[in-house]
Amino acid sequence: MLSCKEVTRKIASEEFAEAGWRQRLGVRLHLLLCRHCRRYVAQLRAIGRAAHSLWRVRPEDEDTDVLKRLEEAILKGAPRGSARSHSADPVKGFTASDTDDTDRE
Amino acid sequence: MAVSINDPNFATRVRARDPEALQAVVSTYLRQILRAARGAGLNPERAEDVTQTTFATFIEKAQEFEGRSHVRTWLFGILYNKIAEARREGRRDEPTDDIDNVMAQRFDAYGSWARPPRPLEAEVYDSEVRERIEECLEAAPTQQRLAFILREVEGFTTEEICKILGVTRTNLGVLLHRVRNRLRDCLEAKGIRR
Repeated sequence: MLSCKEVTRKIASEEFAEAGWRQRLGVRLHLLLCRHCRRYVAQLRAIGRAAHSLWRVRPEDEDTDVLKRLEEAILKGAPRGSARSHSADPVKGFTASDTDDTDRE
Repeated sequence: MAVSINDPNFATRVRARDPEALQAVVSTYLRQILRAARGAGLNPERAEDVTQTTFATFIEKAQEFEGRSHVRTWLFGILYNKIAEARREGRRDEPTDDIDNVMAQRFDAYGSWARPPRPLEAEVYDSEVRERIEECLEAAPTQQRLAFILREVEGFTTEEICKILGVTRTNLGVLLHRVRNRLRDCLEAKGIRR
């Protein structure tokens, strides 16, 4: 019989999904008998659902302008940072990216 | 749109820097890349910058595209490197993590729960998770965050995520195990109660 520790590890790491039928059966049997692990699994699922609805199903219209600006800047090969809304001023935009540490190797 | 990323000649057209093919890549993946950059913990400005740089690098290196890896995997691999650069973090996750110790203490010597998850009503749990998940995710290292976002939000396969993050399947298992336990534990500690 698998321990709770093993079962939770197999599930959280998704090793379970790729395991052979014997292991999967072992995990399922364990879950059938162990309410603590069932609760653990339900909570992980709730966390996944929340993340999905928070970042994926978020109203997307709010990004339309940002996306449009970015797309134009990318296809024009504009300098980085130039697509930002608040740095429409080219000088300010230049300064912002110039002081940005991501530019350095 | 004239070119589809599913076009059989697509890889060739990308390599040739065909403007239509490049535009197809940008318009197909821009939203996803921006969303992942934000999800990885960059502030809105940084996320936009990193998104722009990711595509610029993609276009710059288009000739090297082999077509073996899906465009998406390649693009997200670039994004991951840019995020790591922006945060000045090494690519490697720490060999042990606090959450490993926290988890170890939750089980007894036989591997049974010593401190089982607290019982919570599903509905209460759902709404509290939504409220606090961002805060809890903030504490996680970039690699864990991105693994979580790509899996749960974007629904990538584990194989794709391994390629993007440059880790083995076993490493990815460790990352997912850590980030999920970190979140669950943080939510529990943040006082989700009955």
